[in-house]
Amino acid sequence: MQDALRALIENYCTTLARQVNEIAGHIEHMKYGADALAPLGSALDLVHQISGLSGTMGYSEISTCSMELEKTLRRFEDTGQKPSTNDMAAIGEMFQTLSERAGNAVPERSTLYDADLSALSAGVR
Amino acid sequence: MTHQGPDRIMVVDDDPDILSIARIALETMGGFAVDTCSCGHEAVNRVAVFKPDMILLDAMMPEMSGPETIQALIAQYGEQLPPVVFFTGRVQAEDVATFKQLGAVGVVEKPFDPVSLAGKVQDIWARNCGSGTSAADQKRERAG
Repeated sequence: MQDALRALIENYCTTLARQVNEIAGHIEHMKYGADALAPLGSALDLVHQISGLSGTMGYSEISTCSMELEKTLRRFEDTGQKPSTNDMAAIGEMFQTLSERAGNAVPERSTLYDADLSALSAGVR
Repeated sequence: MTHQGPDRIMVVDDDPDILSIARIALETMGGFAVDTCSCGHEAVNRVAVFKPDMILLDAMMPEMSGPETIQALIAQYGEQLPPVVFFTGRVQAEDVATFKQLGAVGVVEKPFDPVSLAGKVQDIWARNCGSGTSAADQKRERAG
């Protein structure tokens, strides 16, 4: 069980790095592209995935900042309003925090990596 | 020894990593039989085959959302549909009320703690799932 979970966490770290890299591209496109809203949906989908899974995988600090970024991006999607220069600066800062935390997300830092799941499972049912 | 609670759980989510970790949490730690579906359409077809006692359903999925899926499940299975629990980051009171109006018996918040997921499922079952708790029953009850 622990081996399966560790393999999943290791795989997730790779996925997370790829997702953050893709989000970086979408945010760049939002900043400098002709239509700032065009890449918003794709960015939001990825940020939503990180918000939903990073905490489950034992990286609550990533989940916290991802949810903050998701909330901000969703506001623009819901209203259809284009982010101002100041908004983009704030989005950039939030993304920077997410990127730094994701960059530190090695498998051993997951709170699940060394959890004694067999002991915990004994009393579930 | 007998236990009161679900034995068979179906998890529906478009994220394969969520399905993998939910399976580990529910199957290996919780001792449930688990089936996973990556979309609402698959779930509608698989319920007849797997015959789950409870369904954990992601609220936000592309193509067919969680709310659309529960409506399709109720239309297909009616009284035979087991209790449905939404799996979502949307846990404001109004969101939960909406999910319950659709026929769900409860909500498991995302991100979820895999260590406590099986226990949460048992708790939701214990609190909500006596006799007459199919999704169709829940929807009828909410509608008054």
